[in-house]
Amino acid sequence: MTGFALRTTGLVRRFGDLRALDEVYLDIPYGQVVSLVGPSGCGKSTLLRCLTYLDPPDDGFIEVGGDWLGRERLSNGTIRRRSRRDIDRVRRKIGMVFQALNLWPHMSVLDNLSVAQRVALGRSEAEAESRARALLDRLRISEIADAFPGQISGGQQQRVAIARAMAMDPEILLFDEPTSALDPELVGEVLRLLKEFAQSGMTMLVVTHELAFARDVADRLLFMDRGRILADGPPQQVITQTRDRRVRDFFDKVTAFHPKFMQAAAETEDES
Amino acid sequence: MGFEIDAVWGAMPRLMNAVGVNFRIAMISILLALLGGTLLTILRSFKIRIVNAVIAVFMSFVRGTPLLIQIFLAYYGLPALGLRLSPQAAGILALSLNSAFFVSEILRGSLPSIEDGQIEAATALGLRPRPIWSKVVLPQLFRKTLPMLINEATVVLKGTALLAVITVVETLRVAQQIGSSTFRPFEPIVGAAILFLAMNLVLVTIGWVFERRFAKERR
Ligand SMILES: Nc1ncnc2c1ncn2[C@@H]1O[C@H](COP(=O)(O)OP(=O)(O)OP(=O)(O)O)[C@@H](O)[C@H]1O
Ligand SMILES: [Mg+2]
Repeated sequence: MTGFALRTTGLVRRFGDLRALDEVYLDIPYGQVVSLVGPSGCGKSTLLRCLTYLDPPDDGFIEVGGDWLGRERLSNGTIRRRSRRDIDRVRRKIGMVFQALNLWPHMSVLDNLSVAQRVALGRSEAEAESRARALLDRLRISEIADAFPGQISGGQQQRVAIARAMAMDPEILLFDEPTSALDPELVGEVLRLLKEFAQSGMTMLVVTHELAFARDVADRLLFMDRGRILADGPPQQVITQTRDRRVRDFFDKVTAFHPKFMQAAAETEDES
Repeated sequence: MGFEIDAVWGAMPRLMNAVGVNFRIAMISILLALLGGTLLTILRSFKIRIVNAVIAVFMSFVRGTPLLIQIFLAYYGLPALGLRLSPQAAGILALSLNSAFFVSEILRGSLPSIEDGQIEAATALGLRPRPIWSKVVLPQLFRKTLPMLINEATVVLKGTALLAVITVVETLRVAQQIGSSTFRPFEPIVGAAILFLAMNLVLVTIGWVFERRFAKERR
């Protein structure tokens, strides 16, 4: 497929006087793995929430796989609002893995993966289940298909959340700090998993503090500050060669004060 | 005239014939109350000001007046509005409407315990509001509030005895009839009490079975 999995133009989100997103322009081609870093409060989560329309932007446009999400701009320049139903149709093409995972505790793992396939995509029960099982297999957690979220480990829950998003065959997967809620020893494992997806051609936008991921897995690194993307390019280049002072300060601090990141980096290196 | 246990057993056959009436009215009312209470909960969640104000007025009436008066109103008051119901229908209406408001209070009380994130996850997966309610929110609400719902069900079941006053031939009324014909008013009432206790045990047991099933999921 050609074209962009995701494209935003001039995305703005205001909270009172604060511009949490201040004209974000972003194009993500199919198959690209992008990691997004930036200081706390710079608008990373807000961007992901706007992209899923959980928090509709105040201005700007979002295109997912060539479809307008929420508002469209016609070729003659007129702007049209899309219906709620249409928003629900298009947002299905974006898979979101939340930091809090947000699994449904009253359903088995299998049901967590099947419900939206059946209800939102109209897949048959048999089809939804066989896709769910295939994904659990792929993520090497097929043994927990019938367990409930409260009965499985944090690492397994993380995989279930990823599988639930992937079951919808999204054009792009968004992750909000996928490793921050995990025990340190599980971080490397999840990073390896993401690396596998990357190699399989999955398009991903990953908010992370793991420089290891940014450096070794991502094709592209975005640095955000105060709602704007300040640096954008190949990870090594952004980390080592940026001239912008704010960007350099950030990376200096992260690498100096977080031995955990460096350790995780070493682990992913061992693997490859 | 002391207490004759034999008079209790003597009243039992006729009382047991009437028990079915209470049980049936209770079951219908409980189901209607669950349905009505669920719809009220959903309606209130839209936070439409006028609608919620109207519901609040009804709520204060339902909570602030005796159930017995509400039953009288349904039977003797509604005909004035052109709606004449049979004693049983009026009883079911009063009991289920009354209980629907309490069910709604129970469900609404545990709504905040379902994290917004779960609903956001469902929304992000493209689920529309109706399936979000039916697949994600309501099943959890019912699980969490089960003990309170069972308690409410026992209140409804006991409330069916009040329908004696609007001529429904149910257990308590039959007990009174037996009492006046045998000149032993006390023993048939004891018999009725035993039967109500037994029916409530059935309800509580049903609740207990469900609760054990749900407990397995959580742990
Ligand atoms: N619902 C809201 N109402 C008001 N302000 C908000 C809201 N959500 C976010 N903000 C503000 O918007 C800014 C961006 O927040 P956001 O959560 O996107 O940051 P972040 O980059 O994800 O930070 P972190 O790394 O700590 O997760 C912050 O200043 C935050 O206080
Ligand atoms: Mg965040």
